[in-house]
Amino acid sequence: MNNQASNSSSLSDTDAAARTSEWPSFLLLAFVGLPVAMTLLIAAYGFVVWLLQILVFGPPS
Amino acid sequence: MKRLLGRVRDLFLKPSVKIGLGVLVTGGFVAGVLAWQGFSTAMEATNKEEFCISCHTMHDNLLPELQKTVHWNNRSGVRARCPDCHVPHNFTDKVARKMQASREVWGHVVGTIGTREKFKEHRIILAQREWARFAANGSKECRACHDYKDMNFDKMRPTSQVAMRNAAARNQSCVDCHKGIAHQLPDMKGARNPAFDTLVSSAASQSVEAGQSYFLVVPQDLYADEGLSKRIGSIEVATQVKVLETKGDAQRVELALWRKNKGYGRVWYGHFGLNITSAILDKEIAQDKSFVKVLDAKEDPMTGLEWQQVTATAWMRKGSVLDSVEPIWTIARASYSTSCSVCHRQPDEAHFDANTWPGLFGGMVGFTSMDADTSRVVLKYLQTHSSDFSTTQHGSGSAETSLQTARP
Repeated sequence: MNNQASNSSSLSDTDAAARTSEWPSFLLLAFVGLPVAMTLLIAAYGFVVWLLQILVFGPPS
Repeated sequence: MKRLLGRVRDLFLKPSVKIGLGVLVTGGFVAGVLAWQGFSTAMEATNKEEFCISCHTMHDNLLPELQKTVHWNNRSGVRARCPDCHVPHNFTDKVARKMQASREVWGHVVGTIGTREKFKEHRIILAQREWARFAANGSKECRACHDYKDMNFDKMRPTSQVAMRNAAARNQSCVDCHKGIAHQLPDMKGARNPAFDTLVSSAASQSVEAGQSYFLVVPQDLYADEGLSKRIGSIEVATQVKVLETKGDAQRVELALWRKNKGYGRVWYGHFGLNITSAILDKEIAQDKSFVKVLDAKEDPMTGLEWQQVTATAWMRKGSVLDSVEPIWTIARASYSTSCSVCHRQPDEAHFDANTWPGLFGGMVGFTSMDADTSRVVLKYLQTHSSDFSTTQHGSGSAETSLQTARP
């Protein structure tokens, strides 16, 4: 991995930065990012089903 | 933007170097549990009565109505809350319904039903939406508590037994009959069948040529003058008129109809010998010889009454005619088959003759939820598709020939 990362000189800097921000990124992703994404996906799913009910299926049977 | 995408990619694809795999998985697991718990708590919170009535429209209009019914308060202490009836219980439909509520939020913001008056006016639309939902799912939410398989019919009153056993045999939707069970019924008299709106809008874009015949899509007033100030009568839906000229907002039309030469001759009919009302004139004008021209007179052998073939021209508001009567009959047919098949199989249109239908229909229409306009169209549909017309689809002037064969 490190070999791949050292292929470009600028990446090692961001690598170091990423290493220090690993905990914040993990917590942000697990407790904020993904829950929000889940809510949005379910909402989108609901809207899609509603739209299909209007256009194709009619009210649920 | 590109940097952001790169960082997101790194976040997902680059292995962690500082945090152990077990910690990551455990952390993700905990976060997942919490997120799902939070989600279902939110779903539950928005599925509570307190949540529903926290909006003043529900609190002021629907709560007091529900509180008067058995679904609120009864001897057994079991009660229904808003979402028990109005939110589907399975996940997909429930989520879809929650998203549908965005429409209600919009209505709240705009104030569509902000006052009691607006609510009452709008109620028929809301009710029809909910009735359509119950009709489609067979009143599934009602049957979470009241299912046919758990009913002891022997414990019902004898009159209820008959109806309920039949309903159970047909697996009928509860709300077909039990409308207005937890809230007041909408005011049906002023209600408009939404199906007519499409008809009216297509009539508004109908191009009208002088000298051609058209059909009315809604009942209209008739006037003596082009300024539409002196009202002389009214003309019924689906009546055929010949448009003579159009001036501004008004249209001069020619009526060619029949009437009984008895009394004032105010009611005009579409065909000889058949009581299919097409126009109703005011008393003075119906007797005015300069207005009404009598073309022919014939005696109806069944009643011994003399019928006159009459013609007259009058003004009416433009924009309410169509060149085909079929769209009107389509609405009538749909309304007839849905409303009448609720309690019994509806008879074939041609099973009765045109003069029998009004009595039959008048006796039954009270059991349906048809509004006044719809019931008029449906009756006319039944009459013009009755046994008197069964040989020809539209009965265009052929009533007299089919009349002979239809009657003994």
